[in-house]
Amino acid sequence: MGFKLDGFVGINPLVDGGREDNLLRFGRDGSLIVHESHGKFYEACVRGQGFVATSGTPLQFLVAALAGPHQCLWNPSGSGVMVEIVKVQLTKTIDTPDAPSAFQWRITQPAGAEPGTAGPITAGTNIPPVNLLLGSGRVSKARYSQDTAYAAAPTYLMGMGISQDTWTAASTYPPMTYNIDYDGMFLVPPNSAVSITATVLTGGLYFLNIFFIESAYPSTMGA
Amino acid sequence: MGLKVDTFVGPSNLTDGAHEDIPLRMGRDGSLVVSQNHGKFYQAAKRGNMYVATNPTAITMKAVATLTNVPILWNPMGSGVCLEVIRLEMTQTAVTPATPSAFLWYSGYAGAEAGTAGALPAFTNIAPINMLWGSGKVSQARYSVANTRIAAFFGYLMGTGISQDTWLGAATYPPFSIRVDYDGLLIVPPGQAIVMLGTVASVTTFHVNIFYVENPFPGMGA
Repeated sequence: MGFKLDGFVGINPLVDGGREDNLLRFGRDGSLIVHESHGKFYEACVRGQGFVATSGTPLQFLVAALAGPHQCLWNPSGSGVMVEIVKVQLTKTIDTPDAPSAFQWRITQPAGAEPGTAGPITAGTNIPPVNLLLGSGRVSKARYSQDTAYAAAPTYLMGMGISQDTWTAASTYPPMTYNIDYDGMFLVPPNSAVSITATVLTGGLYFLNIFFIESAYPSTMGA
Repeated sequence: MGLKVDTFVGPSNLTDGAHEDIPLRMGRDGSLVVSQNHGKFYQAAKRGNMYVATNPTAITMKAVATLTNVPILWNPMGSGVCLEVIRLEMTQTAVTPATPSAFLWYSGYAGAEAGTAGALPAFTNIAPINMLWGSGKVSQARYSVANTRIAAFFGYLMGTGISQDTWLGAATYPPFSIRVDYDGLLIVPPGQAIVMLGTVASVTTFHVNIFYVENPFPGMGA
């Protein structure tokens, strides 16, 4: 038999500073009772591992068949980090005509370590992702570019869950938000790049935010 | 061999006050089974560390080039705390005509004090509200919608994910909400300030709510 924990079922009032003989709290069903100390992403961000890939220049989203320039988040080969996407936001700026369309994630894998004419990503000017511990000097291993050119069109990965309807300059709508929470279920390992494309070229311009956490890359893929 | 813990797979039937020989509950897959005792932010709020920076008088969003009277949340240098941003809410007050635009975050170093030599020559503080209502604990951070800033100290940080379309006084829509959850994804260390701006000034007015937790500042990075 394993060693036994001295727990307590129900509320057990304690005082700050108490450090001996504190009992773990249990529910009547035997669950360990817990609650959080911070927001979900505080620990990663306060350690300087949270970043946002973004740019002050809003852009259209292109159709995938175009070689570029695409907006791309790229985890280069040999980076040593896993890029964990936690949230994506689009902020639309102007009311130009749009056609019904879907936004999609696309992937390039392998993506290589550096842009170059011989590689899968032939060009892309890095816009260093911003550390979300504002003012931190820690720099992301990942790269973000708005002018990425590919040797081959990136491959469909999945829909984004964001769609556009017909939209004209005369349209009037309430304020809108585009927030997609991935919460860590979307991982970009080294040697991979992800892009966002549209099924129809957008008329509207968007600021794109891709929030991610950089963690040490495990030595093996999967389990 | 490692130390083994006394566990039990599946639900137990325990009585309040029991405190000996309680096995940890496991799932059939070996997971430790836990239950939440409170809302996610209860611990922070109960200890008086959760605040909302808000403006009782609704204001228009100003264009990027505007240097006065914009929403600014500022963590002064030397505060000893970092601001863990939890949520942004905007509450629109009136359906006045609007212009398509994007709301953006700008950020920059704003120092310890407002004054002519710094990023914020003028800054009228609206003391953030402690979410443990009635708590005497006062935020180290400062919030303002009546201020003057020097543009060179601030740069684009990111979009807010909030956009405005054309909006006419005659438009009729169901109720709507404007809310973005950060959940600790943005941290404002001492000295830094975040500013909300628009690509185009809004005519519509908003109450801005920025919810944040104040934590002891552990220093930059890991």
